[in-house]
Amino acid sequence: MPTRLELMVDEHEIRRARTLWAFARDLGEYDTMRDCFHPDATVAVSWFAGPFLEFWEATKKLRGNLKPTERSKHWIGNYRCEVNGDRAVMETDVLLFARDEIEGKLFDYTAWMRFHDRAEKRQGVWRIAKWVAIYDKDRFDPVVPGSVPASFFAGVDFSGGHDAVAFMKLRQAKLGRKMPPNLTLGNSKAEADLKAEGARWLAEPAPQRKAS
Amino acid sequence: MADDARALRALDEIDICKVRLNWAYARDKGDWEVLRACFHPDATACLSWYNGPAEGFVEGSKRMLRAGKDHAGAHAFGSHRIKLNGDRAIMESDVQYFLRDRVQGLMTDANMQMLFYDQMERRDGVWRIWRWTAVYNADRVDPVVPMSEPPGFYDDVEFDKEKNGIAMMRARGAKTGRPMSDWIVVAGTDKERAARAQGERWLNDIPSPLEG
Repeated sequence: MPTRLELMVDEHEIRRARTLWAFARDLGEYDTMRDCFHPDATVAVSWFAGPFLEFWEATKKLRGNLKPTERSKHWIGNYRCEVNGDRAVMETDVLLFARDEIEGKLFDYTAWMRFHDRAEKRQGVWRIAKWVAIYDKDRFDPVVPGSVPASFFAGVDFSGGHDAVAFMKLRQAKLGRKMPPNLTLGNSKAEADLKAEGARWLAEPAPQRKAS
Repeated sequence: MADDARALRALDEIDICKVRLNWAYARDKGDWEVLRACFHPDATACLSWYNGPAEGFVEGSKRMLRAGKDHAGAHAFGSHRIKLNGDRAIMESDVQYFLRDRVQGLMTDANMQMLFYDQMERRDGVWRIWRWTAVYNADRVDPVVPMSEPPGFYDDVEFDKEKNGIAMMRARGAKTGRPMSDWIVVAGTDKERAARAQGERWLNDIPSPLEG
């Protein structure tokens, strides 16, 4: 394949892994979801940090507990992708739309995020090897306007550099979930470090990497 | 050879996606010949206000645009996934419909979050939609001016299991004299499962080229 076409196909396939993950995640197609990641992949998101396979098991449990009124949609927006041989770094705009039922009321939770993905092509197949979600801002709106008293939001905390996940914190606390410390927030030093590390990883001349 | 197959698959996916994106612009801006060309002559469409031959959907859309309804309606497309099998494909797309209209005198923004389930066929080298099923995931209706809704405006919204994906649309339809039809496919219901099972059977029911 000519180089430009090769690059286009690589980017297309890396992008495909991310979008496939999103559809599979929201529809509960667990085998498809697992197939988007390498078995040794790692994950860092708002409610989990660790090995992908543990995340996969935890996702199944989480989704199994959904009430009939609840649903989620990971809306995958635009992306940029840098490919170097059989490695790639992709950054994707993601909106999470989650409908939650809390204390008998319905809410629409919206998170503005970016996914930092490091993808690797192994045996000819691109899969994600490392995924870190970067959080920019979020909202939590009652589905029925005016149906929730202002006191519900009394605990929202915009201090301490965690304003980007202020409503995530409120929601996870009310749902009884723990959040891992050290989330990567937009425009933070953590984001800059993550990207610098990603760039180094992408440029690494690894001897085992075949020049195809 | 293997790389050529990867490139051909990527090109097919890009062609298939193009049909849906053309559809969106043509539908929202009233480009009726382009809209018609997105469908095969024997195509069908199943969505909130219409269920039947695609030609009827085109005619209905024309009438609605002429009548000034949906004047501020727009379909926004997110990502998609495609399953290919020769000249057949299933494409699932994330779609949001944004509609500004007046409900009992109140200016509202309606937002419908949907998944378009498209069965596409390539005939004479051209991909077009053969069967389109809109699956309704969740919806909102917000007053354009915050807190401008009259008391009781949301009292008739019902969130029971079969209807909660279109709860706001139902209430809005009742207020504007356009009740919801019972054919509507709501996410997570038996109707969605039946549509998907039918699609999978169709996708895999192709005589082998050797028997051709």
